[in-house]
Amino acid sequence: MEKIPDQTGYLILTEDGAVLESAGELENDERIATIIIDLISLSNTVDPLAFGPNEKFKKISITYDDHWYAICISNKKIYVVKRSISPAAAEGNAIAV
Amino acid sequence: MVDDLRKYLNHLLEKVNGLHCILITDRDGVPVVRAVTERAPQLALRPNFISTFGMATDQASKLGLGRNKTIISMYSSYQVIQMNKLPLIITFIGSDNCNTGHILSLESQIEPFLKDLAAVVADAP
Amino acid sequence: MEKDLDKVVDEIMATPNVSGCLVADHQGLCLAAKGTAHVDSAGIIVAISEQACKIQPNLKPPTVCLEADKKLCLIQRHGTITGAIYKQKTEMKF
Repeated sequence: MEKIPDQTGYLILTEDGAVLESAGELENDERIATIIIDLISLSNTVDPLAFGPNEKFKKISITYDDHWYAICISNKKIYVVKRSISPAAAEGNAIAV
Repeated sequence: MVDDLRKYLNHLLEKVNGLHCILITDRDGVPVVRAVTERAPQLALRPNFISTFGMATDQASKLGLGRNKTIISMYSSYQVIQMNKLPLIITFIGSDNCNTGHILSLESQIEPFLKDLAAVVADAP
Repeated sequence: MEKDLDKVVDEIMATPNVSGCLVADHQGLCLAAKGTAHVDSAGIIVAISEQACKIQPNLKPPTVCLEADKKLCLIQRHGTITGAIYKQKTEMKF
């Protein structure tokens, strides 16, 4: 997990939200762990019509201005990685309207 | 069965921020299943409050838009959402800034349990 | 009354790869929904956006991206309005 480029912290959780491993800026961060678990359970019920009955989300990303979190589930474990965004690459995910 | 349902409703109560209680009652407001937190206003849990929905939904169905399904009432510090699932009524009471859309989406999650409950209500003389 | 909003939603739908668009208010009630976006999902989308904001409450609301196999859903909040765009995934990876 440490080999991910730009990563400033990571968390590995069980499906119930227990922290298995943590490091960096997310070390021992139970608060973020609970928030992420709730987020995942919400995402599972988003849109049965647009996404089909069995199509669960493979990856969730939460992007701020200078860093972002990548969340995915694999092998009954939830992986959360906090990665920073270098200013040059920041074209932004803002949906210009 | 009712205990499992109550546990499930309590779980839903925790999921939605600001939701104070979920009640499934018959048309007269007699409770079938109740899941309440301490913040639920006691007066609103009584049958005489819940039964007003029966009349309201009948009248609302006469507006020419078809059968009335849901009535959302916003009060100064609470919001009450009631769904017409006759012979049952589902009542949600939440804070005024609670996510109304999220509560409405709970309908599809509670619906599967209503068939068995409706049988209970229908059998009563 | 909603002409301006409809114009914006149509503009978004005209963008390539976009399959649906949804706009909701702070209470989770849908203001506009087009394409594959369903009116009923407004509540959950606002709830997801609120939940994501809790991670860093002092920063401005983040953009949430939910990715499935072939589709993705972008959710962003500005003030009291939350918008969601459903897109088909292209080959581009970041």
